Amino acid sequence: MNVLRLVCREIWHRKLNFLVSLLAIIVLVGYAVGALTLIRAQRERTEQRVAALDDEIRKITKSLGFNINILPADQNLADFHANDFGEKTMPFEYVQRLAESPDIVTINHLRPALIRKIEWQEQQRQIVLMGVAGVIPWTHRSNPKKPMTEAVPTGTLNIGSVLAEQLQLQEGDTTQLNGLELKVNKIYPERGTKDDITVWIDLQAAQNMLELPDQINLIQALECNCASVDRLAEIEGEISQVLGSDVQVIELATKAIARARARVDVQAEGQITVARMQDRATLLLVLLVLASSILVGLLALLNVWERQQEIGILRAIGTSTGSIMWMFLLKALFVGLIGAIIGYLIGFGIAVRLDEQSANGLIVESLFDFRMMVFAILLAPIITIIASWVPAVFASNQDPATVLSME
Amino acid sequence: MVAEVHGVSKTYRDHSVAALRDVSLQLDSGQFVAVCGPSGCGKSTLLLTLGGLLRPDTGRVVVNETDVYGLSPNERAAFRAKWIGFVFQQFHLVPYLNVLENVLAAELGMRGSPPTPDRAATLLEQFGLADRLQHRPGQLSTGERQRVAMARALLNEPCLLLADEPTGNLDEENADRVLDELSNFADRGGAVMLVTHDPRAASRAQQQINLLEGQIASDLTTATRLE
Ligand SMILES: Nc1ncnc2c1ncn2[C@@H]1O[C@H](COP(=O)(O)OP(=O)(O)OP(=O)(O)O)[C@@H](O)[C@H]1O
Ligand SMILES: [Mg+2]
Repeated sequence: MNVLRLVCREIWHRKLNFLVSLLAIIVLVGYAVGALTLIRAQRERTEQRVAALDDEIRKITKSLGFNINILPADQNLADFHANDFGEKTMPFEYVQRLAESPDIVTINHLRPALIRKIEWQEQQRQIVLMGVAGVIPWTHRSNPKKPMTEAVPTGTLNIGSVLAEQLQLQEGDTTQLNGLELKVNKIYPERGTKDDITVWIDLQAAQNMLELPDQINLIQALECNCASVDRLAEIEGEISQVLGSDVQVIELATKAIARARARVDVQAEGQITVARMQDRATLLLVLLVLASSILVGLLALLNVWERQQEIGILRAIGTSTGSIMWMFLLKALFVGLIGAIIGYLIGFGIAVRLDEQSANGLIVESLFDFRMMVFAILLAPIITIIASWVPAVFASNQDPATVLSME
Repeated sequence: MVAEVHGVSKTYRDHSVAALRDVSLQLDSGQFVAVCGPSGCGKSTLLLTLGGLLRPDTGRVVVNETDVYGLSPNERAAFRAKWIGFVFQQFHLVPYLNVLENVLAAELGMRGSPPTPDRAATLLEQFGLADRLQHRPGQLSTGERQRVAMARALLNEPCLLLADEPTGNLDEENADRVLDELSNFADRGGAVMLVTHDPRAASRAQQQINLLEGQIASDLTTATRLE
C-alpha cells in the first residue's frame, strides 16, 4: 500500500468530486488553449496574407518598368494624366544632379525625356514626339544594373507600329520628320497605347526641333524593390534633398500602390483583431483562473471534510503529516495533469475546427505550439496544487485524537 | 516493561473537569488489562494518552523504553506505526479500500522495509477472512469489520495493543472472537489494554483497572476478583 494507490482508489470512490474539479480545469485549459490557438491562427493568417500581397507587389513592380515620374513642380497633374505628358519643362541638368547625388538610393535607372504632341508636317498628321537620352549612369554606384532601354541612335527614329503601318514605313527606310532626315531604326510592336502613334528620337535632336535647348519635361526612374510601404514619400524625400521643391514625383504603379495599401490595411486589421482577441481572452482567462482555483480549492476542502475519520485513523496508525498532505496534493496534481491534457486536446481541437470554418484553412502543424502545450500541462497542476494547498495543510494538521474521540 | 504511565493528568482545553488525575500504571509483556468505569470517567482519554495520540498536561508515558511525548510529532507517528496497534468501537476502516488494502494501510507509516502483503493475507486468513480480501468494508458484517481492524492493528507486529470498546457494536459470538484474539496477542508476549463497559469482556483480562472521575479507584487482578 502506498499513497499513490490510496489516492487512485479514493478518486475512483468519490468520482463526482474528482470529475467536477477535472471539469473546472478542462474548461480553464480548454479555453486558454483554444483562445491562444485562435489568436495564433489569426496572426499567422495575417502574416500569410501580407506575404501574399508582398509577393504580388514585387511581381507588379518588376513587370512595370519605369514607374516613377519626376515632373517640373509647376506641371498641372490633371493635364499630365490627360495627355500622358506635360507642357512644363525643366533643365536637363536635374538628371545629372540626381545621378551625381549619393543621397538617391531608392530609385534606379534615371531616364530623361522631352515629350510633345507635334504636327508631322511631311505626313500631315499629329504624333507624339519623344526625345530620349538613354539611361544616365550613376556616378556613385559601384555596380550599376544594365539599363533596360537603350537610347535612340542619332539620325534614327523608333516608331510605334500603328503609325508605321499607316505611313507604310519599314525598318531601314529613310524619312523626313519636319525637315530632319531620319532612318527608321526600330518599329515597336502594337501596345494599344499612345506608344503606337509615338516617334522616338534622340533627346538633343528633339530639343533642337522643338526649340527647347537643354530642356526636358520628364525624368523616368525605376523604383528599386525596396517595397517599404510609404516608398513614394521616401523617394520624394530623397529627390527633394537634391532638387528642392523644383520637381514633383508621381508613381504610376497604381496597382502596386493599391496592393501596398491593402498590405498596410491587412496588417493593421490583423493587429487590431489580435489585440481585441487578446484583451477579451486575458479578461476571461483571469476570471476563469480565479473561478476554477476557487472551485478546486472548495472541492478539496469538501473532500478533507468528508474524510476526517479516515485521516484520523490513518494518522493514528502512524501515517505522517507529510503523507497526508501528499495524499491531497497528489490528487490535485492528477486533477491538474489530466485536466490539462484533456483540456488541451479539446481546446486545440475546437480551435482548429473553428479556424477551418472561418477561412482557407491552415494546416494543423502550423497551429500546434509545443511551448503552449508544455505551459498548459505544467501550469494547470501548479494552479490546482496551489488551490488545494490550504485544504491539504488543514487535513494534515488534524488532530487524530479529536477525530477518534468523536462518536 | 512494555508500557508505563507515570503521574499523568489531562484536562481538555474546553472542559473544566480533569479527565485524568495523576494516573500511573504499568503494562508488562504478556499482560492483558481491562480498564472499566462509568461513562466519562476518562477511559478513552487514558487509552489515547498511552497510545501517543494525546499529550498529557503532566506526567510521562514510556512505551518500549521510549518517552513517547519526547518525540517530534512525525517521529511519534512512526513510533505508533511500529509499536502500537489500535482497535476502536467504530472500526474506522477506509471505505474505498478493500479488506486487504485496509490491513496494508498500516504500512503507510512504516519506515524502512514494510511487511509483505503475504503477512496481511495470512493474518486475514487467521481471522477467517481469506475469501473476503477483495471486498469493501461496506460489504462486511460488523464482526468481520472488527476483525479486519484487528488484522490492521497487528500487521506491523506491535508490542502494545490498545482496544477501545472493540466489542461495543458486536454480538456475543463476534465479541468472543475479538476477545480471543486479544488474549492470543497477550499470550504471544504482547501487552493489551482493553477499555470496556462490559463486565463479561473485562473478565477475560488478567487485571482490571477501575477508573472513577479520572482516577484509578481499584486495581484488581482476576485472581482477587474471583475470590
Ligand atoms: N475532545 C474533548 N474535548 C473536551 N472534553 C472531552 C473531550 N474528550 C473527552 N472529554 C471529556 O473528558 C472526560 C473523559 O472523557 P472520556 O472520553 O475519556 O471518557 P470515557 O470514559 O471514555 O467515556 P465513555 O465510556 O462514554 O466512552 C468526559 O467528561 C468528556 O466529556
Ligand atoms: Mg470512551
